[in-house]
Amino acid sequence: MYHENRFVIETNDLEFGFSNKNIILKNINLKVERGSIYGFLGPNGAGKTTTIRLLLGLLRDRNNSIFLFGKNLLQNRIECLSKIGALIEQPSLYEHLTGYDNLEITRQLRRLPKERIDDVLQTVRLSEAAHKKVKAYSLGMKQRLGIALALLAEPELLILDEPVNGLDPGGMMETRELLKAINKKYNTTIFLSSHLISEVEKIVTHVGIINMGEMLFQGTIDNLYNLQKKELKVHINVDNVIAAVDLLNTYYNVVDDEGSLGIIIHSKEEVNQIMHLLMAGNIKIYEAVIDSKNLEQLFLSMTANYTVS
Amino acid sequence: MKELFVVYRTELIKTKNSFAFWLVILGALFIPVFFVTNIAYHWDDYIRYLVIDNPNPWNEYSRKLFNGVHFTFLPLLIVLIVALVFNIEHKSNTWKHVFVLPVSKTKIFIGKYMVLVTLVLLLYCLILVFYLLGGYLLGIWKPEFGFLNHSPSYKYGNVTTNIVAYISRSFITLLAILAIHFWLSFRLKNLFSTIGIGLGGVVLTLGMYISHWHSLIYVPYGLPVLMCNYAPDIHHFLTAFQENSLIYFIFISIASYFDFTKFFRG
Repeated sequence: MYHENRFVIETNDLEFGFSNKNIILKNINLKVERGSIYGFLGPNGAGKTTTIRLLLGLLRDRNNSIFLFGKNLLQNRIECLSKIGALIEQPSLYEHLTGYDNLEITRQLRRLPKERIDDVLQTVRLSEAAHKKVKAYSLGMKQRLGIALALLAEPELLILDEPVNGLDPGGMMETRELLKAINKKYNTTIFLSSHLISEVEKIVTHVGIINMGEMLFQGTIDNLYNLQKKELKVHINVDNVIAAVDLLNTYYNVVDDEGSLGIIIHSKEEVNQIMHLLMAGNIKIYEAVIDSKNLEQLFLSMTANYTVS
Repeated sequence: MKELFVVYRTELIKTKNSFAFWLVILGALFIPVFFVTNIAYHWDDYIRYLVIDNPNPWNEYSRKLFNGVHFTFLPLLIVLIVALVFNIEHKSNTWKHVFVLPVSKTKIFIGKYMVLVTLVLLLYCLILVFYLLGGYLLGIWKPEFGFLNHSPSYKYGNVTTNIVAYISRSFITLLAILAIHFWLSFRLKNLFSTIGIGLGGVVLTLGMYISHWHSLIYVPYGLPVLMCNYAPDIHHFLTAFQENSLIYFIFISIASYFDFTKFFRG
């Protein structure tokens, strides 16, 4: 049933609540393909961190519905965790120790060769600051050290909770580039959460959108773009709005949009047909503007209009 | 076993530069330095206490110094050390990182225990070193004390015991507090809550000690205080209150092990 080679993460109607009345996650069916960069998106409080904590065994999944690398997490916890690198919310760092010591602790526990520390320090460009105490690091450096800790074991799966949260635009771009490079170089599957689609849309291959504990969308980023394209609206300024509405009503969903026409279309080709119809009806056209929702607007409308069933 | 040693080693790295580590050194220094300074300042008074009334000055020197160590100081120090060791994880928010590593919770639990026992043993070793150093320095400074002419020992009443046997018994009396605060310190994130509970426990038992409550031998916080003016049992290595400490240690450790491995998620 579980395709070991295809899905690195698979959940089967994952549910979670701290009590029967307080259900936080409902029927979450994640399917994260091997080698993908999966953006797990949702507004604050949607259930992203809870899902990640369940995936890492930090919260107990009572229904045994989580499968990592084709194996049940609860029954194969240590084996699954040995293939995962994780960064949950703020990086977990011992600030009284140096960056090197922080990596050394994880290296010893994961029984890795000493050279791995220098490798990851180089990857995240922290070699020069390695022997400084972490409390002297900037937020961006701490974030990079957190990623270095996650990368240390060359994991098959990286789980990152809001990895660019709190970073300045430069830091965000650096982190995105780093993740892209890791995915490309090692074919590492990356599962990263964010509350802003704009933060991750440039690097993700797959997207899952969650709100109020329920999945609203899951698919490739292209699927999401297609969904976006279905939601086009053209605004046309004409000399006689009433006549234009009468003329187009038969074929389109037309609204009087503050003195201009607002028409919902499904492809840009339809604009040409509308123009022909208007010209055939002797209606003068002054301006036509296509208003396409960007991904952020689509994401916001998906999550804002959603009410729990 | 090898993996357990690795966990222990990493737990030791975590205490590097930590306040817990420095507290062990400073804590071990405090009473011997205070006591030896006091003897040096009032040396003419102490000549009578340590020499005239006793053939071996070490007996009275040991009794007084270790009374100072056990009377509130040592229990509170242990409470602080345990709280500070766990505060390394709480403060750094690193439990989540520890629990997503491919290491069993049992090994993490035992590794933490081993580090705490190591720190407490280090504390005892240092107290012992500073105790001996203090005695010998006094002996060099004032040969009439006679510290250089006798071997270190502890005597109360008619029973004399060697100092390592005394220290071993003292360590056993601390185990109950160690187990209680081990459990409290991973469960309570707030450092001051665990310290507050420890302080409350010590103050309460001091009241009981001063009022000569016999049931003090069942109160974990009171057990180290009972090492003040301790008269060793010549027939048994451990006396009743030391056995109680061991029993508390075993049962509380088992209960906290189940809590840590089954329910605690950081």
